[in-house]
Amino acid sequence: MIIRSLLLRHGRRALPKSTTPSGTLRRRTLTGSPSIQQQEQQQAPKNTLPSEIRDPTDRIAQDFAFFHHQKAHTQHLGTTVASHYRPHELVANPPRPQDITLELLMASQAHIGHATSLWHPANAKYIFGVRGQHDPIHIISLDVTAAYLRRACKIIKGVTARGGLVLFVGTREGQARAVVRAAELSGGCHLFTKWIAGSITNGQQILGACAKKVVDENDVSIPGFGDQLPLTAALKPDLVVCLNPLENYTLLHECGLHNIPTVGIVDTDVNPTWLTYPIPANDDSLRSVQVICGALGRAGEEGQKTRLARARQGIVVRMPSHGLNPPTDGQAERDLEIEERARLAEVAVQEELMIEAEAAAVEHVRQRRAVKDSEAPDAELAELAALEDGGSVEAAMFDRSLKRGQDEDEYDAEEDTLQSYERDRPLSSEELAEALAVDEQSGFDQDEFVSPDDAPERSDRV
Amino acid sequence: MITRRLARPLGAISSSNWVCPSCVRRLSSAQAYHTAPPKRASLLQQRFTGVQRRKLHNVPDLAQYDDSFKRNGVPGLWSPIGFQIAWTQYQHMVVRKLNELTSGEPYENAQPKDLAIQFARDPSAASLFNHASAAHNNHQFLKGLSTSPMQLDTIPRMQKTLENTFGSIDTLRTTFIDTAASMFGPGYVWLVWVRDLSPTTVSRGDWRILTTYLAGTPYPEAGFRHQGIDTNVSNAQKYNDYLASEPTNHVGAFGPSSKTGKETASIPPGGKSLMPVLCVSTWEHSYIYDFGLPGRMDFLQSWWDIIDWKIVEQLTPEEVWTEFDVGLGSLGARQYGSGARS
Repeated sequence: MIIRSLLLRHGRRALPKSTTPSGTLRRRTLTGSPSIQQQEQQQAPKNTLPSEIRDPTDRIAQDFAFFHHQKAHTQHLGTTVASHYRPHELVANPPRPQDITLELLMASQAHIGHATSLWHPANAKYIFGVRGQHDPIHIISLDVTAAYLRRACKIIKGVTARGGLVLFVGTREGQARAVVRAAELSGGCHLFTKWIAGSITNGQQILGACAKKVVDENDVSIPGFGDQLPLTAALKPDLVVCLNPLENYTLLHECGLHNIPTVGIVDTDVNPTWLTYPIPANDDSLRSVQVICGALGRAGEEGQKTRLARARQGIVVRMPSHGLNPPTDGQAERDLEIEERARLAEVAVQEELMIEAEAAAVEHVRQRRAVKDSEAPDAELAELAALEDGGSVEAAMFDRSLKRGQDEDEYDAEEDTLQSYERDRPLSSEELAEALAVDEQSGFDQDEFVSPDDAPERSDRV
Repeated sequence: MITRRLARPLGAISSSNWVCPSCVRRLSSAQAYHTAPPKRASLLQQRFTGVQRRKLHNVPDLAQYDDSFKRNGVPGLWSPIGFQIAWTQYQHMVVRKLNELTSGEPYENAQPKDLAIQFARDPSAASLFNHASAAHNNHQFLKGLSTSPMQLDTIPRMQKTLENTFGSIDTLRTTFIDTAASMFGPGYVWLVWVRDLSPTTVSRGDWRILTTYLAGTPYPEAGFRHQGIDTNVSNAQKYNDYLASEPTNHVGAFGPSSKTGKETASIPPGGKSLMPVLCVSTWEHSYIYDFGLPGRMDFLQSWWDIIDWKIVEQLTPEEVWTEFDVGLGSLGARQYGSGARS
């Protein structure tokens, strides 16, 4: 079994055997300062289940709890529905390697190959036979498929159990979800768009700007390597899983050049020698691809679990050298400061966007209020006069709207005389609340209503 | 009479006519395809008949009481044969018909409750609604029974919340049983927790007794279809044309076809969300063997004595206890229940 040597991704035992007498200092650097971990735990609240609602008297919480209670106790009454194919489940809850059966593979159309005239003779040993008289196609042996799939699952489990980085590639339409999910389960990387040629052979040019981090055996980030990381080579995966090898020859060739083992789905028209561990199956059916990719993702998940469980017990696989030197004095603090600054900058950007949006809304409200304030006394008097004369309310409103149309030019001029600091100053909290409240109330603006009966005859009206 | 969907034999092949060549050869040589398939064929026999038999809907298990009920009946209520008629035979009949009605259709995997809600107002799918709803209601009735029922006075909070609504447990019992006994015809009687009853009451919900006739469903979502024609004066063709003319996409931010529009129309005006916690069947097959045809009252009284109130408590939603603990339930006390809706 080919296992690529790991460089940087999991920098457990990042420091070589230290000659310093104090072992406690080393341990602290390896596991990270406890305060950071505590902060992270505080900042990330866990998702609560319906039964763990914090405020039981909150109305929305009660609605949510009631809905789930009713669903749990009444949804499945009446009959027991036999297990059936639900497309989303292949991505949300993919089958484990133990769940792979010939029936599942057949139901997922994994046995269907291409037309016999398009075959690659090198994978003759994977083919069960021919089906059809007029347009014969090859049928792939499902027992062979299952055997090769299980072997590939073992490979991935072994790689992830030793801290390897797996790259899942699926560039056909519809494969993105499966590929992302499998990478998520295995703690690896995914690619569902075109592979940029040279990402491995010319990695420093293409992927040089990608951020790297150093983690210990428990996957906790270790600060202090911020000066060295930009100078190290771009990461290369330890295993590549390719769901459509026919479209990714360049990727597979680059992997070959760098001794990266590859796993892939081999249809009857694919050259099996392109891959280290082929899985003969149908690569055109999305369902079959999702079953296979799901099983591989689950195997990676198992490997990750094993690795972390062992790490908690102190059992760690010895990694070859990664080329990093021990962190210099003060580098860890500098790295944390840079991180903090970046986080604050992000927060500031978000706040700025929010303020801009609020200001725009408030400005709009202010303009409307300015119009109302300027003409309110005249308008009210006019309305009263109109009513006293026996006119209708609509007529009075129409008069007001006419007047506003005439005053529009004057209104603009008034607006321009406002000093910029007066116009652009941020509103105090009371003014802001008032502006937003006014905005909410005036859903239907009475001033703008003009009854069609009272509107004047317009030449452009049809 | 609208006969929209004819019963199809169980195991009918799906809507496409494609059969793989090897199966065609096997079927034509065996000649078993055209004869009536044997009933209750063993697994070995099934393999050689050449017809696929896959039932998507199966009779549910009654948790841990299935064997006990089958052998000894329900203590205090049914003999083994009475149980067999009320549950085994009836449920098998309903589920079989449900399989026949749904096989090959896009909703063949749907749960009976979803089928009942979807087809409640579709006159051409009346049989489908009836069987789905009957399966659901009967299962709910049987789920409330157990071999060792817990008495109500051992669960004080359950007793207290019911007394808040009905005044006393005796009143609840009398009202419930009288309601069920006076129903003219088969149906179900439910004890339900209804939400959002009235903005003026302090408590947000209350207990109610609800009757449904024949295979009626208690859920309000079933009672309303946003439909623009009166199905009483139209036929199946007109109704289907109307459904086909409605836009199938949810564009727009408002209006009856928009996503929000469709969501707001899910409950009829005046309808309230409810959670059924107790159910009794007043269908004659439930009591005819052990109590006789005029024995409905005896049946209901026997049933009340063997209600497992632990199961009722488990079905009660959390907000009942929350309101009760806060002390608001007592203000919503009522002397009587909602009364029989005959």
